[in-house]
Amino acid sequence: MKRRQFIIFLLIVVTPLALIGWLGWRVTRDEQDVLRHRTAELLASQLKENDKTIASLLQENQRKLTALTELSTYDADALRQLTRSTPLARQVFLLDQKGGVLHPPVLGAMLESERDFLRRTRRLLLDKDLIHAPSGESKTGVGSQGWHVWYWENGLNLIFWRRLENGQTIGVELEPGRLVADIIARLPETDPKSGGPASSIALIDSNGGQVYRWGLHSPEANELPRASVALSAPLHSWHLDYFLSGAQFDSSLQSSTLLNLGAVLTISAIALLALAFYFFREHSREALEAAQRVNFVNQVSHELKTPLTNIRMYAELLDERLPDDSADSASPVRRYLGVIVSESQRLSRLIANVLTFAQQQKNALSLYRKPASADEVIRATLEHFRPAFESKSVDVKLDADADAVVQIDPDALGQIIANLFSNVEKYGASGGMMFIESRQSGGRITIVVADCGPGIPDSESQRLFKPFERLSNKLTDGVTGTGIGLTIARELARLHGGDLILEKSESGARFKLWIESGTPSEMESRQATVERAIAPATAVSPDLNIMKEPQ
Amino acid sequence: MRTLFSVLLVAALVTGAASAGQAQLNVALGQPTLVAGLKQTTFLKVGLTGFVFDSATVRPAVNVALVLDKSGSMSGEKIVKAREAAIAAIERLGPNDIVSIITFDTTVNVLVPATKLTDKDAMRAAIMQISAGGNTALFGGVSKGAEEIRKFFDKNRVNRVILLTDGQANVGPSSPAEVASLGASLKKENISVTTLGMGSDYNEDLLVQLAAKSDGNHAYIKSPNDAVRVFNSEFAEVLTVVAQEVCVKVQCAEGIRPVRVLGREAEIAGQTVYVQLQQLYSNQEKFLMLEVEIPAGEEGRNREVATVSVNYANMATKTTDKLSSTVSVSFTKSVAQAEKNENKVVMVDAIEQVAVHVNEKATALRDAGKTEEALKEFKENAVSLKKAGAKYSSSKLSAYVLDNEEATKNLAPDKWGGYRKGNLEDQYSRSKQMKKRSDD
Repeated sequence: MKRRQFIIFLLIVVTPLALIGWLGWRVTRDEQDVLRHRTAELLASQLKENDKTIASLLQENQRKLTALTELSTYDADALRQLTRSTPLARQVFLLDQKGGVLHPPVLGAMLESERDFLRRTRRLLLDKDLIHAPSGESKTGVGSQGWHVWYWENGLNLIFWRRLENGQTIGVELEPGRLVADIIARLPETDPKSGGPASSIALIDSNGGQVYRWGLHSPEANELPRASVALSAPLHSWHLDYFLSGAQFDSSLQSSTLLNLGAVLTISAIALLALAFYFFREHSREALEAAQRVNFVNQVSHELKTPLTNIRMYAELLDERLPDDSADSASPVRRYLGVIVSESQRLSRLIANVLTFAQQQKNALSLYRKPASADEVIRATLEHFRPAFESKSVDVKLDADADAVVQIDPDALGQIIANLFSNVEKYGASGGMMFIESRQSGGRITIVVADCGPGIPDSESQRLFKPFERLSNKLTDGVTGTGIGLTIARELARLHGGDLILEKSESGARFKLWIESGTPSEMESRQATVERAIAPATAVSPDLNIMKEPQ
Repeated sequence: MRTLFSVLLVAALVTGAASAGQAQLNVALGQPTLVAGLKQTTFLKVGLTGFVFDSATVRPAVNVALVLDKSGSMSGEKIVKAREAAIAAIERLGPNDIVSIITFDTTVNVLVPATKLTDKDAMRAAIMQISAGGNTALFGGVSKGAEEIRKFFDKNRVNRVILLTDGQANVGPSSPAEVASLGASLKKENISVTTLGMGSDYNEDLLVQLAAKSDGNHAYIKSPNDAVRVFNSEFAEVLTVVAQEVCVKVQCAEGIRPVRVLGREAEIAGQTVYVQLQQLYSNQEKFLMLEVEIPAGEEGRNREVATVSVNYANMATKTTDKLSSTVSVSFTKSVAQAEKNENKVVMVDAIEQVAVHVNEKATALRDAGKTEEALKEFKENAVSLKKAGAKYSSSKLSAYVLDNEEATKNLAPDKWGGYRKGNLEDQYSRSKQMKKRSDD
């Protein structure tokens, strides 16, 4: 019982907890994924804002350079002055329609810086990339101008080019350090007082080198960015990385999740424990109450038994002592006496059933075998029912062929048969007929009791032998009906090594009972161990014979 | 020479009445008289001396961005002294000046955005907050510093970024070339960067490049205790800027070939030499030393060598002033006559610049690990300086002999690193005619 309760407890508490835990874990994990995804999106959008800042700087530069390269003359002096006065420009140059270099003056007097320029851009100028690039092509140009990206020395270099009306191309090589410095100047600084999570954004160049970084978080060397966005053209080989303090991000995510999950689990556990405890309390209380009721019924039955036995005994004694002259069955005294006897017998049966049932519930039901004849038991029982059957005009036909004396418990057998007869009396009396047939072969005694009443539908045949619910309040109510009669009858039959079944029949109910008669040795052993709590209440009980007439 | 001076004098008198003053242009040849019949080179010096503000004139306001390294290596004494130096510098400025403070370690923080210096207490409090830790994002710091200057950019102010660092730039662009590129660009905007290297771990090439390209100053602060002194002298100079955007154009006459400009960046295209100086300081001469090749001339003949024209923004009058001058050479048969006519001042300056050039070459050799060759160069330099010092009885050249001899004793690997920083500072200060720091 303990073990079963423990398993039920486990089922009630642990299973839902595990289920909630698992679901909770699933939900929070999904939530984390969503959160992480959203965070990444948010971070990326922040990076895009910064990219816009950089892109707008380049657009601004493009506008500035467009205006600056609008000169009245494009001679060496003017172009040199442009180089000299433009902070953005490292070198200004001019190409003819076919890409030949007009400035710096290759054939004339060149500055040292101009020679350097030609040296580093030789490849670019020879390939005539700037001339062949159709206007507005990949180079983020509008009309006949744009940026040309060119990798040299430390990485990315930018050239602004613009087609002049005469087909010549003016170009401005940007001062690389200046470009970077301007980008840095536009990007935010690190404010040590800024709140929020420790994060930082790094601008990474085409070589993977960090150009600039801001924010309070110092990423580890191998730390992966939470989000990464490539810059817009022409700086598309650069990118912005968003770093977020990993421990902080994860732990805040994790801890909040775990906290939530933990809280849910704890609350559910407490609720379930309370519920389980409540059910357990209810269960034990009801079980206790039921046990108390059974006990009460038992005790009452015990208390009823003795006075009832006395009533019966004296009623029968009185019947015997009535003068024979009043043997006329129509005499009112004899009639009244008959009613007293039959009603007290009926009450005895009822009490016997209750007590037997109580024994069965305690698993303390046992047999008390002694030499007896089955037919005798049938006849004795029938004798008790005769007044009842007569009053209901039930014609009894007995086909008895089991009169050998064998080892059986006549009290138990009498109780079975009495229950079957009582059944007929109550439900089958309308048929006006009852057949009893008894047979004996080997150690087996078979008895059939059939009536011609309304019968019992097949669907009920199984429920017929089931008792009312044991723990229900119907226990005491049921005793007044026949709720336990057939149950006890079958139980006793099975105790005898036989069974009681409802046989199919064309009309009425037909019960078939068989029992095995035990060997004498078996009987001895049983008798030694079994202590019968209740005395049989049937008329053929030997106890009755012992009873003395009270003084 | 005499005519030239008189021309200048007249010009000074004429303008002097109306304005606080003008810069003095002094164009002279090392050898105004050459031996005839010989193609030879000589030195042309274009000297510019800043005028002195008269007491009535309000000094030009300055727009300074203090870019301070607060990386981990600055912790301790260095950051304490740097703070002290910055506060001392603030004390010298007035309510019309604009100051911003940028600190950098691994990242950059604009501690005080560009603002008029009306609340010195707040500025001091901000400076006292600076504490050290992290890496060295030098490029980012300078970029942000320049941006703060631009917020209140005015050609009538002295626009300067003052960078103090003690370490190798290791975050963001960090090669001398990249930093030089930024410096060159800032110069075009009239922003110069003064670089102050503290201790023994900074990259002197990077700092010298940045200062040179932007025509700022450069100094080596050997001991943190010198920080206040160096800051003071830097700010003293900043407060005496009298001219900015000084464009010097030397147009050589037909047949005269400009060979090289010593010590400064110059554009030489054909017959034209173009040099731009960021500023002139009060009562301080800046010059460019141009070596010219003069074809053989006939005895007794005069030949025009070059016309020098200068224009600059006068900080006192807020006008653009123009100066010009022409210089000629005469030829003689007598070597003695030619020698007698030598302009000693120009010759000494020229020899110093040549010696600086040799010193730089020797330094490069030592850097390349060619210690023997470097030793030889330093020694030869010392010898020729000694000879010239005796010839022109110049204490300046004699003193430089000692510097070069000192170099020969510091070529060992354990000494070179420390010595090199001081030597680069010395080269820089000589080639850019900076005021000697020890003079303060």
